Amino acid sequence: MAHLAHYREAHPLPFVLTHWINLIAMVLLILTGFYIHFPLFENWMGVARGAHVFFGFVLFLNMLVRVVLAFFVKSSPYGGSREVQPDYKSFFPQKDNRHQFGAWIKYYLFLKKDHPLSAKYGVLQKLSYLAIPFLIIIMFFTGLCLWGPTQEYGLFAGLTDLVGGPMVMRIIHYYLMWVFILFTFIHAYLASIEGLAPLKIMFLRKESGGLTYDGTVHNIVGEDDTGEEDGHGH
Amino acid sequence: MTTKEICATSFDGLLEKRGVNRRDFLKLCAGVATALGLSQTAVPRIAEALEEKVIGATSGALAPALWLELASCTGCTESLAQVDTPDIATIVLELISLNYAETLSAGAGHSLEAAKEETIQAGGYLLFIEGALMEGWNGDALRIADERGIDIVEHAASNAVAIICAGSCAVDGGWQAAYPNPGGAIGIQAYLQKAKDAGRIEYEIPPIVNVPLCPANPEHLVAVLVDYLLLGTLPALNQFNMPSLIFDQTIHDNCPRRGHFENGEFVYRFGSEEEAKGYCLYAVGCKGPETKSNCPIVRWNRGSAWCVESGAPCAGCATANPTRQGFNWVDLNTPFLHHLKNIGIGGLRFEPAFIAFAVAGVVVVALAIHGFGMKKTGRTKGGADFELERSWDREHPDQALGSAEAARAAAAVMGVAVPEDIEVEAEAEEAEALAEAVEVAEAIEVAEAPTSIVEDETTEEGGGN
Repeated sequence: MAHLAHYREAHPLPFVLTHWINLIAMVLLILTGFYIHFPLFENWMGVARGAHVFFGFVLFLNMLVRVVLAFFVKSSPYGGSREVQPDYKSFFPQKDNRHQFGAWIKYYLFLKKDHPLSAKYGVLQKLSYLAIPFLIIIMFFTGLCLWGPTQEYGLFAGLTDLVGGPMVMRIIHYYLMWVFILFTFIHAYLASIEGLAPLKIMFLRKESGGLTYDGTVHNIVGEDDTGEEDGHGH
Repeated sequence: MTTKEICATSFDGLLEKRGVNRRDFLKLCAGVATALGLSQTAVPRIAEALEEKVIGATSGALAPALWLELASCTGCTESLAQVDTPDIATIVLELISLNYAETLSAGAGHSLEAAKEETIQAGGYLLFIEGALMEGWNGDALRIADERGIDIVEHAASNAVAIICAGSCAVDGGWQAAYPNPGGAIGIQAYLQKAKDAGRIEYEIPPIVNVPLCPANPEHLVAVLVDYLLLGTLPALNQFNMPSLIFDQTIHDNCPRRGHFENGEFVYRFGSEEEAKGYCLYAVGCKGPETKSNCPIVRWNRGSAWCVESGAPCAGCATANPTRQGFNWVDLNTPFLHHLKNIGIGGLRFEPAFIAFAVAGVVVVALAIHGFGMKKTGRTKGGADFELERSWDREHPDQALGSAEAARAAAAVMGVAVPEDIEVEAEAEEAEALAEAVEVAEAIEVAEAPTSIVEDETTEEGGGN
């Protein structure tokens, strides 16, 4: 068994914070969204709607902050490495992932025994993370198309007309929520199925030892056994 | 003409014969003023317009109008006629020179058709249309007086000053255009545009005023009529050609049960205590939040009540899209007692939530099965061993990203056997190269992460999981 070391350089503090905010906002949006969709119990509609709108803005602004920070904060483009470069580069194609799309699919379908070599984000991971800002934007706009104070604005009224009316917009907004739910399921599953090290670094900033990777030779180059799991936590 | 003069016309006698008085008439005018967004000071002018231009009480010149009834249930006519207790609005509409109305006209047969033709030739009439057009079977799905409905409308629209589509069917086909729509029901605006685009009609399409609802609310029709006759212009219309003042706010915005919605007090079941308390009907599928009409203000049946006030969740009958087929209020709002409409896959209809939960269930089950697979293949404690080189690299050694040296070094770090093809390459100086590669790796590792310790390359276990 072997996995890469998880260093703080891979997930600098600002991104740990935006990740936390994303999680909290999404969970609350989903819970309040379900309540607004069907109020299973009484008395909370006003609170649910207020919270839903508030956290909708939080999620959108947090996304903007995250995207802007990607250009100003440096992070490691590789797992198991302390080398850093501007974070946005981790979301664009990297040499280390070249031709590895099929390998990842095969790996997850058990058609390939060994773990694909990869940059910090694998091909599928990169694609799905790149989709999230766009999903948040669409979610935000469809939400504003439905929210009373903004639904009459030209842009939002036009979008509502485009899709065929508020009912259709509601269904789009509803299904997009499910995209977030399913993304979160799969994301949480894949992030934790091979061990808890990713959760520790992402939520607690606790490093874990493991193999180290070098971007210049594009391969595993060593091992760091100082990680938490070996009893020598940072 | 002053207010005082209006108050004493022969029109009063006309009203009295129908069992209503001047006061009732002015109340109607006040209601119309509200519906039009005019101040109450406009009431005398409205009264004047109604008396002079509509009813012709003083001038004797009635505003000519045709009322075409196409594919309809006659509900809109019924709604206007209020046969049990005729109201002021009915009288006003009766007293315009309604030269053709299948249900209301005293005449019938050829003489009535002749009257219609005369009116069309004379021009300058308002054309009311109730019901949808039918395009099915080459237009033969709807025939009236041995003529296709589409021909009747194309002809009748030719000389009209304006077309008033009364009720959702005329606006966009209404419930008749709902899936699967075998008769090809279509709204008037969409049909005329289509005919124009296809070159079947030459004339400019007259202004169209869409007045949806199922059935059309008589007060809305009177409001449009008065606006036209009083101001000589049609009311301000929204993007659907519906009067903005009537159809630009949601029912939810003006609903008397709105307080219960905000408080989270809902009716979950009919016949329950909550229903008796008059709680919000949202949880039983009220479409008020996405339906735009001023029903809560104008109300129905001479202002006595309206659907939600009477305890029925709004079915959303004001929803209409005159320019797009398949977005009528029935397609968009059924099942009426559920929050979201059903969505279709082929001929099947599903609740959106059903599909969402089904897909989510499949995903969760798939992940669970996958998890067992991961457990079984021993990947849950740090994942599988890394590949030593990328499969693509192996097949394209000339364009390879990594090197054989790096692969051998990685193998040494992870304590795994070096695959044959890499080994063959290294056969000659295997031991030497291996040691060298590891040294290189160590050097890089130390340079990159001075705090980390490079594990001995001969270690059996891969290290920290």
